[in-house]
Amino acid sequence: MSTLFWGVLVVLLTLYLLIQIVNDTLWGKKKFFSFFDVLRPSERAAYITGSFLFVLSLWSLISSARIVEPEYLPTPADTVKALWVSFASGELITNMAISLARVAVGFALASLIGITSGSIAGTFPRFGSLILPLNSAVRYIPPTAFIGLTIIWFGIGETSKIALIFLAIVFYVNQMVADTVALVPKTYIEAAQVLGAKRWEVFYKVVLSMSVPDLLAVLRINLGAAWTFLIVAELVAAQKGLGYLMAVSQRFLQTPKLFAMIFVVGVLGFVSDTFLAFAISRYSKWK
Amino acid sequence: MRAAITVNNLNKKFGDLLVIDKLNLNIEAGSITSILAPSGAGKTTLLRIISGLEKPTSGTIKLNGERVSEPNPDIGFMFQESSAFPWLTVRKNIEFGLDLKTNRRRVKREELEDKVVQICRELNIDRFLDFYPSQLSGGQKQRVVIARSLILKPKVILCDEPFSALDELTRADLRGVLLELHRHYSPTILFITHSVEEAVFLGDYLFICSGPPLRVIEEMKINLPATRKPALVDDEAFIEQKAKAKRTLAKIRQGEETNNV
Repeated sequence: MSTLFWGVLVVLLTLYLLIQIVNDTLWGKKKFFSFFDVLRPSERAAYITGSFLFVLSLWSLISSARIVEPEYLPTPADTVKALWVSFASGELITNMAISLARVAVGFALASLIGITSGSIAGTFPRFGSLILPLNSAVRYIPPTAFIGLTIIWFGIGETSKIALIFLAIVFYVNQMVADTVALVPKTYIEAAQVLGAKRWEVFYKVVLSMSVPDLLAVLRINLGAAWTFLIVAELVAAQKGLGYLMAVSQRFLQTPKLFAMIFVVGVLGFVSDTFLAFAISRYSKWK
Repeated sequence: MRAAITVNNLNKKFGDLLVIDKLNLNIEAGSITSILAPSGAGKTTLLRIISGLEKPTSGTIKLNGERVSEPNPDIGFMFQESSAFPWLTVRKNIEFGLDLKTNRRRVKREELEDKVVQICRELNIDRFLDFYPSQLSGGQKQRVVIARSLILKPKVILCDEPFSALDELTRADLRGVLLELHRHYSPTILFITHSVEEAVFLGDYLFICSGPPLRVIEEMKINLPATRKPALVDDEAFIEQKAKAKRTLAKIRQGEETNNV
């Protein structure tokens, strides 16, 4: 029964999308591919819900029809059950809190240092010449190459996980922020100077103020990387955290729980991303 | 004549290119002086040096007898493109200069709001106080820039073709606004333009220049009434002086062509 339900839903959602596209491309009735169109909130919500529903339906269809065995792909119901068990025992909250703290500290440190250094490097080319080529050289080293080093330097405690997140993103934040602030038109800098702004005021009131939305966009991209390297660090050597729960679930072939943890990381990432997206739109009103 | 700006033996080189060569100028305090020159003659460089944004190779600039070596709020500057800060509302743009450490004493905090509203009324942009520049037209943006500069009561305003990107009607409008504000605040204005009509319409004096290196070929005193209405452009005296300026400019262009041959 449920297989049939999900199957129908997958077909309907696919058909709806295909009709929209065909209508647009062949008969030009809808504006599916109109350039940079502004969507009504209801229309936008429909597309978002539709895409999530499609993935959920496809997953339900494949798992309930046993196209793939449950050891490899559990049903959404089993996944939710595993999630509930983990939540009810308190295990999920404890480990989630630890992971969140690691991401928050690593990301905050990397953002603080990356934005400070990058904005100075992008504004003052002499400082940029000192910092940026060196930064690029280190940036091309895959962050995972630092795992061994962070364990040797900091052991398997909290510091090594935070250090890995920090090292994985700080060089990218630095470069991206430098590129962003370098785009501030010189006219605005000179306009501030002729109004009487001193060096620090030009930097703060023009360069940084104008760059706020783009700096937030840089942070948004790098927050995704922070989550990635948190899980990497926790999979390699941890006694707690969501990555650790994933590693244990994998060891004991608890696929539903593994799926549940992946889902939790996905939701946490999505929520933090939405928060930054909101901040970007709030500070981009002038654009 | 009391000079507000004195340019003394000014030289500026960019690499091997001599842009300004031993230039001497006196700009009368409280006057509007137009500078008319072909493109690339070095007039923007001159303005940038006077404002302190560019360092001269040699020579000096003095404002009321004091040497200018770096930008300061006594010398306002209007750029060719609008320099209204896009991330600030009109109100915040105009307050920008007053919020800076150097200018804190220019206006008392409690008077600030009134001053901003008053100057916006004079410039007819008081309806847009909480708008961002992206919501304004090109002419309105330039009005914001004028207000932002004028509120600091600068002694001099340097205008680097500020109306060149605007349509003819808006340009005519802004010329009127500039003259009106000049009457009220009486700063010394140095106005660079390509347009002969604009140069004659606005100026008390007109310097017609060639370059590079920038050289004053003719200095004209414009004999027109102090109050200048748009209809002035059809006046005989205006047409005559405009024709004279055009002839000089044509001679400069001819000379350039001969030199190029």
